[in-house]
Amino acid sequence: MAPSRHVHALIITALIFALIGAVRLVTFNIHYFDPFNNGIRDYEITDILFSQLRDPERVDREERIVLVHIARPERAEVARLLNLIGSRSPRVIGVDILFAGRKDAEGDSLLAAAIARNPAVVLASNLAPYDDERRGIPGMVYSDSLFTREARSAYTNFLAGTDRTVRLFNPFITTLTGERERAFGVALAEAYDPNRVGLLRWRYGDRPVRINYSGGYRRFLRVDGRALLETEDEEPLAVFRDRIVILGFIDSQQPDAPIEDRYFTPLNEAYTGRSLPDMYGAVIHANIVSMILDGRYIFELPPWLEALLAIVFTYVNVLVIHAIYHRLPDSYHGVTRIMQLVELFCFFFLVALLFYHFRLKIDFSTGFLALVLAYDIVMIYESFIRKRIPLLNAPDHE
Amino acid sequence: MNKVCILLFLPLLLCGQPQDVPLVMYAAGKIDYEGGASGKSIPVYTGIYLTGQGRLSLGEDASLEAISGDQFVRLTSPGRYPLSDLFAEEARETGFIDRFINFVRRGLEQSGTAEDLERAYQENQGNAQGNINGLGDAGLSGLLPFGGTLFPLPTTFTWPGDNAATSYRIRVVDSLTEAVVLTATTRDTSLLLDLSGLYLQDNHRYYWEVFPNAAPSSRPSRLGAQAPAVAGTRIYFTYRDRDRSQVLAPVTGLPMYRGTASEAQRRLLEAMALEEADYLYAADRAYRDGLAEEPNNPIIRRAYAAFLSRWNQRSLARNLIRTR
Repeated sequence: MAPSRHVHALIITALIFALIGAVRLVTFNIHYFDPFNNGIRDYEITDILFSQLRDPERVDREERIVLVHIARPERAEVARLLNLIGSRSPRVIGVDILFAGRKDAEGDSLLAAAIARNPAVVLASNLAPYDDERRGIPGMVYSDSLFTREARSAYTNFLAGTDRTVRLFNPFITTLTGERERAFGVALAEAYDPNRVGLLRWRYGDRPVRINYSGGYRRFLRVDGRALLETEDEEPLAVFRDRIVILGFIDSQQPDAPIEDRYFTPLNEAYTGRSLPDMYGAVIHANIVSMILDGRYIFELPPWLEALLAIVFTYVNVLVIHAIYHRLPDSYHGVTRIMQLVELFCFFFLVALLFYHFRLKIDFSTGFLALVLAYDIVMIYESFIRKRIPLLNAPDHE
Repeated sequence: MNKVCILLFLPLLLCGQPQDVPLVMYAAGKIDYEGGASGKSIPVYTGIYLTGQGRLSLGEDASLEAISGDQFVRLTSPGRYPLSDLFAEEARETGFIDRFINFVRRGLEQSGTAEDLERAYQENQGNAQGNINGLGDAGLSGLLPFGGTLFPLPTTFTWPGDNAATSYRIRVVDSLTEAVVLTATTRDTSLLLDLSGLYLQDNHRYYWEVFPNAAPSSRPSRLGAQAPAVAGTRIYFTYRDRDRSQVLAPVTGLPMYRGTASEAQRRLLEAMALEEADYLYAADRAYRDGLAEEPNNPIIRRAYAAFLSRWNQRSLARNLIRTR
């Protein structure tokens, strides 16, 4: 008995996924292809949605967070700023600066005193480099003990280097020494609304969280630290009352502004290829805080469900393309290509729509790739494989 | 029924109101808010709500960013700005479907035929060109000189008119140090400057920009929207203390240049050589002189149109060809 069309479709589907697996295995492990690989690896379809499909005219203002720009982190200046800001009872002051070691005695003592005077201060720390052998973070890099004695610390690392797009962050990490650390944004949000962080912990635990960027620097209240120190008026300080304050490097957003502590994000207008980093670390932290406080997380399908969807999608397409191959052999090429284009367009639109309106991210790149490959694999199967394996043919099949 | 009405409209009543009061997101320099809810003039700082229908007054070098609802406004020029004008109109909203279709259209244009590629390239010129901060053809149309290198010669700076402007302030600024080399105010839309008389350094980069001195009713630009034609566009140029004849020497020595009886053809050759050496303003003058000699010469018209198109003056280029 000849195999049914479903059996053929299953075999072709399996071939497609085997080819995709082989291509990924080969290309992603050959150093020669590195530039190509980097481009592909650092790209997600939702980047297009963040960078191209948002309405740039609309700015969703965030009133709970104030960003304070510090051009040069002179310790005496930071101490004066902390005293000024702290005098207006902010909910929390996040200092996105690592004060490694001791420098001048006067500046150090002023800063230590300012931190001790302001219990609302959260200092930046860093995760120590990942230990490959022990498979974990061995410890933390804190500011000098002179400053951390009286203050909390939270790590400012994102799940990406300065050369990659920052999409994820780890809200909590347990180091190899058993210490449970929290991210800078989480520590700030916790000081403002602990219940929201409880919700985050319940939903994600130690798993990475995708950052739902609500916008760039324009949506946050901003103050220049130097101007604050130079003015004698009291009124400019009123902005800090009951707000989350983040001190860090937040220069102008011009292309020629310093690259220091500046990262690629999905909001970058150039979503593939070369471009300039578009967002300062402090603004990313502010976006994280805003996301946690609003509870506006990005929903993701579990990997198994995405894989199942891709397989079903491919299988159905192979069934149709295979049928076209046999029933419309003369117009196989044209009909299949048009069908692929229309499907790609519709599915891209659907993925975009789900992300835009429901914050549901579906990674359907494998399904798209399978759809593109289906045309050729059906032809290879029919003209090459099937002819050589009699078991796949009806007794009268040529 | 009443319950349904309450459920439908209560969220509308609860949401949105506080967000509609303009909030100052960033303020630097001397800024006052006059005639607001308090009726007095108050200094403006980050975090202040601008209540009532007052007027913002910005001093020299002051800048302000504010949001009302989801409308963002940035002010960087000195002047007085009635709040009712700043947030009077709803920003033109583009729906998700429009943005999606535009995105796909751009993608198709950039991956299509050679002709489509050229069109896509031209549409992106405004962002791609190094010497302009972003406004593309709309920001460059009618501006002269539009970049390149300038000789130490009398140069006419030209810009398009603004109906609301009573006068214009033009500045020439050192791009490295931001030192202002020249500031002048004029009622006309052009100004003749002898560059040899200015304190410009050889091989240094400068930019020039012009601001309409707006009447009180004129509105500042909203970020992301179509900006007024001239305000805020910086045009970078390099000043070189070099003789024009020196640049043209390779061309004027050619037998073709010396042998031709046509002055227009000479200007055409000069224009090409000047553009090649990045003297765009001088090249533009040469093309114009050539056209003045022979207005109907199709070669000069097309060469000039191609030149203008290459340098972001696409509207002028189109007109030059269409009038034929």
